[in-house]
Amino acid sequence: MLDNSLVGFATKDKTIRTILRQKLSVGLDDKVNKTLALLRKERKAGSFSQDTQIIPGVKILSDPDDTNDAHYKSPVGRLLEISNQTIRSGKYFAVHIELSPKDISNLSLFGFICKSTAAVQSTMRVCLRSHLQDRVIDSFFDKQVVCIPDESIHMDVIDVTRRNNVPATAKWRELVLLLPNDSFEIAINDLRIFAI
Amino acid sequence: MKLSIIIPTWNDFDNLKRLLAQIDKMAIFHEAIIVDDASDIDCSPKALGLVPSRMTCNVIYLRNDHTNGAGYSRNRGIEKVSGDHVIFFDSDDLFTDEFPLLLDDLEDATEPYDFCIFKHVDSRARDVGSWAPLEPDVAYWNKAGIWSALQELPNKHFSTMVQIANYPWNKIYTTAFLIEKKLRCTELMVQNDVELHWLSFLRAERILVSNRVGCEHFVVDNGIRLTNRNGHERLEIFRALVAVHKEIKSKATLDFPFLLAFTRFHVDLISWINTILNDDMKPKFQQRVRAFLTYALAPEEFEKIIKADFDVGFKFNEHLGRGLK
Repeated sequence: MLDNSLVGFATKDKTIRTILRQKLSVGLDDKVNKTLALLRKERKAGSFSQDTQIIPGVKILSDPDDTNDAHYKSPVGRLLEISNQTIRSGKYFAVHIELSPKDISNLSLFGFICKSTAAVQSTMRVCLRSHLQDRVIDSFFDKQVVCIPDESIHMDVIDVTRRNNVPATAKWRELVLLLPNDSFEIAINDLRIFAI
Repeated sequence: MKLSIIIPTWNDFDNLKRLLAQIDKMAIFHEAIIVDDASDIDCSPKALGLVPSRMTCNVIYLRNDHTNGAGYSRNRGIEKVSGDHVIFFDSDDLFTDEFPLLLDDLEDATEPYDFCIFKHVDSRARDVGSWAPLEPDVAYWNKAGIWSALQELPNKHFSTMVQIANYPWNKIYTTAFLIEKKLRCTELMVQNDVELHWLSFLRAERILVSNRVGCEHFVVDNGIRLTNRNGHERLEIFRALVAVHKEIKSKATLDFPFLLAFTRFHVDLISWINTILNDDMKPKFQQRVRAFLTYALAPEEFEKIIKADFDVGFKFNEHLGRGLK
């Protein structure tokens, strides 16, 4: 939901304000993009535990054995650089980005755009995870994000109306970026989420 | 960090004014050292409409008695540096928004380093929608696997990254490294930065790299810049090549990747000079090419080079044989 102050800045007319809000309020993406903008402004660095909160709304989960030599940095103007030199192949290493717990029955498309780099070619899979009362349901984006040393831009979209693994309502949802199983050095320089 | 910026300039009034306005606005520099290489027009701060006492950094203006080239001017600037870090910059280039962020990254660097090299955007690349250096440079950045806003360059990739274009303005040096390692530009009218670039990589112990695009390099063909000169100045390049070659050979153990990289560099440079050099200079240039190449590689080194990179070996022989009857 857009800030009222922002809508009010555009116009004080109540009808137009409502229309603007309906057009611009896109549910899943508004809060998370503010969270990501906040992370881009901050300078952070650290090593990992099993459950590492980078900022509220963004965390990294990994298997315990995979955190021996794994670090992250969030340079100013960029999102997240993650380096994992652990030799043993792990089962799970992923960035979890919390989405607003909205009813998405009016939603048609959900997607993301990201800019990434990597020391050597690496791939990430990305899914929209819906947390229900007793289980989670993952809906994977079709394409893998291919990261290479030269910065590349990746965009992908899910048509939620055509997927039977995106429930209209959920307790809460996340965008999950599944990082490679073996050692990797990946930078997610920017990430924006959209829903229409 | 106290960052000094050294700006050699020659008859570049408008661009210098533009750059100094940017430097003032950025408010991240300790001092700007302008070395005017005897411009025909007045490029002093007063003429540029600047009031140094009101600027966000100290301004030192030096003027050479005669036009001696950017190398001499940069060296003159080094003598005046009081900051702990130095960047050389050309008066017609500009910083990007990411440059101050790179300085912040460097403030957080925990280990000492000799210099940090960062990406730039070339105006020719930008004209076709890219935000990067030219393609050959991008290939070296990719080969070295530079992926981060700030990382240490692995030693094995010193000889990779030395092959990017030998610009002086994409590196932030520690002043101590420049002074202690006696690094200077060759005092030539053109290509004064070859020696500084190569010796920086050869003498460094720890290099940082950043994939932040820190500045935009503007290229103007057929302009009045010294870099567009195609006459006798080009014959002097061997002073720089011999200095680099000596350094590579002086190492206790010959660093073959560096020797290969340097051979690649000088055979391509010779090819390029051959294409731009005025015709009346070519016989003399060829004599010097032959003298340098004969001295540059021992037969066993040539054999190793041609095995590692046939194309380079072929070009080497081609240069050596050119003009012989």
